[in-house]
Amino acid sequence: MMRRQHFELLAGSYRADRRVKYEARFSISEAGCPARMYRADLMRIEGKSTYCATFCRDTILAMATESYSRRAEKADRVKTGTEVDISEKPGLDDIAKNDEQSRQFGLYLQSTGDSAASLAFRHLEKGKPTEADEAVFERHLEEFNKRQDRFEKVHKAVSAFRDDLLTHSPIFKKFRDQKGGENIARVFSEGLRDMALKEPTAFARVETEVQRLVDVQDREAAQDKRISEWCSKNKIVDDDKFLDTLKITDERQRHAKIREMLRGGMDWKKKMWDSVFRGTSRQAKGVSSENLAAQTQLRERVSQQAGDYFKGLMVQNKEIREALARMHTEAEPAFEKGAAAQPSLSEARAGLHELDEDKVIERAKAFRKANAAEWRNPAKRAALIDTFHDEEETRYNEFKKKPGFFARLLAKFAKKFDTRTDAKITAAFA
Amino acid sequence: MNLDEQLKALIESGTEEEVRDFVAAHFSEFGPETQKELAVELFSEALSQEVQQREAIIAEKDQAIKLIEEIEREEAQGS
Repeated sequence: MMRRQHFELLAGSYRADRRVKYEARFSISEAGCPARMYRADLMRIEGKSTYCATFCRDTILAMATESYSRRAEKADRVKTGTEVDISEKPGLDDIAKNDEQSRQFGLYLQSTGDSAASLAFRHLEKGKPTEADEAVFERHLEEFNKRQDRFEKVHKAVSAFRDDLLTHSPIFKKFRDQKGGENIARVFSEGLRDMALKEPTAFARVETEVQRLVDVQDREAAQDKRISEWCSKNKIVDDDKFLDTLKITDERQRHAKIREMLRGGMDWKKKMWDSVFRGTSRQAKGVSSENLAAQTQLRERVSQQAGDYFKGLMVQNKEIREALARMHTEAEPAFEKGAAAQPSLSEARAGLHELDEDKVIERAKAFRKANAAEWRNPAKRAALIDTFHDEEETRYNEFKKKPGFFARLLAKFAKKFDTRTDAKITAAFA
Repeated sequence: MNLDEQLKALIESGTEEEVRDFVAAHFSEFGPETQKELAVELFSEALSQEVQQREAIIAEKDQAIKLIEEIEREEAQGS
């Protein structure tokens, strides 16, 4: 009975651990079928501890079932046209026949600024492409398909953690509260493809972030393996508690938590946990080499005993169990705060006012005044006007390049000077 | 004022909380293009945050591994 309760506690702890969920989801997509996935995952988790492997099985199988039903749903959505199908690459004929691909190619062309291609595209939309048009398209189809490939690669990687982000990320908390996650996941795929086609620079940013996430997950997996092996060797049953404790950045608070875990414990347990959590180098200083061997032996013995003791403690002592649960939940927000923030709204707003039409006109007048001598020469004046427009275009584009949610929102709505503004500039220059 | 204009007014003069509340509350009411752009930006933000958090985890685990290595070195010296 005691053994069963202990297992259940561990299983609960691991179900709550999103890292395991990530690993399981990766394995699901890599292995492709529940049996292979299950084996792959067990191999991966067995490095952690036997208990975890046993009890993650239920979680993993539940995820496999969930994944399969989602896959079936996706197939339905693709069939009904509500989800992007990324498997096909279009040729010119497909673009001409397929409205969606025609729209995507149009988006791509917008970003190229190739007026000949845009004209050819209009012919294509009317179903009358000339031979010259086709030659123009050939040049673009290669780049268009390259962007599609990049999208496909990023989309595939993002799909592995898209649902986890929706479920866990604080960014989507309000959506979760309002149950709007399903809709946002669907439009995200379409939006990402549009971005890949029409905004290669912005898309490259997403691409980089995805690659960074894949890299950190690989590094973390290697670290987990190392830590798990050590914890297993030292009979520390729950290595995640070990890690959670280390996440508490304040040293005093961290040690207080460890002591809380060991409340009512004997002195030898404190020694053991101090050596494990605080590091032994500081303790080793001032310890003679004769005593060091004795201390090591003591730690080995204590480590075994404490491992057994701790296992029993988790099952038997309700108070300690609650303290551990508290520690888990308290450590998480403190850790969340540690993450570097995106540029704030006020930071994103910096420079917005400079794009206002009034400001542009003001700068146009100042520009003319500063170049009064050359202004009288018509040839030079034309060049100066071009320079001014280039400067303003650069200012706008720099603003648009700012990263982060708020900056991108602002850029979406930021006024790019239009023909009306252009007329005012001309008036200011007159 | 339509939704896009309301959102624009908020991002120009509202608080972050107000912008986020508004986007979440009205997400499905925006036009398809705005929805797509908002979804991509939100996911990009979540991705960046996730990477930063995981990098913080990695730094913590590096510390843990250093501790482990110190203990192992000490054990090797003791044996």
